[in-house]
Amino acid sequence: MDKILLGIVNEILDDKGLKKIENLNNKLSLRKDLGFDSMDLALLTAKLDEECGVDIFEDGIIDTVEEVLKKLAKKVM
Amino acid sequence: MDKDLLLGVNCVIGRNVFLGNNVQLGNNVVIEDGVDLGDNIVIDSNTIVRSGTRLGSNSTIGSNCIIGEHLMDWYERKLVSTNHKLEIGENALIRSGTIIYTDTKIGSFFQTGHFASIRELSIIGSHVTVGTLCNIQGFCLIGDYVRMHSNVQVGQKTRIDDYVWIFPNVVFTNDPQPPSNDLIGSHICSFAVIATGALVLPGMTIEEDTLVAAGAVVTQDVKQYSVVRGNPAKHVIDIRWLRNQETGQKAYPWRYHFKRGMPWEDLGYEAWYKTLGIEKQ
Repeated sequence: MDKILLGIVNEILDDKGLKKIENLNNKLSLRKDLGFDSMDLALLTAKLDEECGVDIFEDGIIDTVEEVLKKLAKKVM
Repeated sequence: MDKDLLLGVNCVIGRNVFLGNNVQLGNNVVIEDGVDLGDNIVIDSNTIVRSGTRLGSNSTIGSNCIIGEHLMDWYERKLVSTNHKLEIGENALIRSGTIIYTDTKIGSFFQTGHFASIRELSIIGSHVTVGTLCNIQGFCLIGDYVRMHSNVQVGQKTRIDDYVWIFPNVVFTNDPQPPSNDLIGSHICSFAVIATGALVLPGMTIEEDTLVAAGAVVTQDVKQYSVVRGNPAKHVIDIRWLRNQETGQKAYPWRYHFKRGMPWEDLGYEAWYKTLGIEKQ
């Protein structure tokens, strides 16, 4: 899951012309640390849904990498 | 003259003017020949209402407005008095400094900010808001419940359907080879949202339930449910993936999630739509 998420995050950063990250820190905030705006979050949601069949926002707002991973793990289990 | 007319100083009222009940005019207001004002009208100081204007009841016009402004023929001194008509529906609120040209028809509950300019030969629906410093350059078709924020420039021949949101500093151009005489307006379909500072090049079709992101330069048609951004604007994502940043809930198509000031304010969109008795959505 970490690798899938890292790949998608980097794809979005790359599209925006921003530097890719090497690894995901659980405490990273998608908005504050990675600078994701509403459009980036929508892209992340759509791509994760496509890859993992999980709508990470289905139960409300999430912000950190840890929250995303928890959401993905819960669904996969 | 009807009853309950309250006049400021130096008002001029022309011939064949119809004034409804309870009309209040500020100082130096000019009501030209043949104007028809409904009941409960308030017009603030220094405003001119030109010949051929018909203003619905319960309307308010701020100071220093010109309502029913002359066309070019008058300025070229080819024609002094005109047969042109301007019709504005009931419950209009036209704020100070606004100029609305004649030969235009505007529905009820029309609102402007300050210093809006609306040129001739446009048809504007009901419940339309045109913000401060907006410039609608004429020959435009604008539907119902269109919300235009400040400083929006709408080129001639632009068509905007119902329930379109246009945010500040958006520009709709119309001349593909400027300067030319071949003006091609764009068509903005219902429920589209054009965010702040977007620039739409001539002849674009922006389909239903789309979002043009802030600062985008639209050089190609925008397909239904598309979100476009950048210069030139490119498709980013299906609008149905966008979420409310406070709740995480889906935010689009906005009509299912936003109802303030809309006809479905009480019922919600789906229930309201059923009341229309139309089969498909």
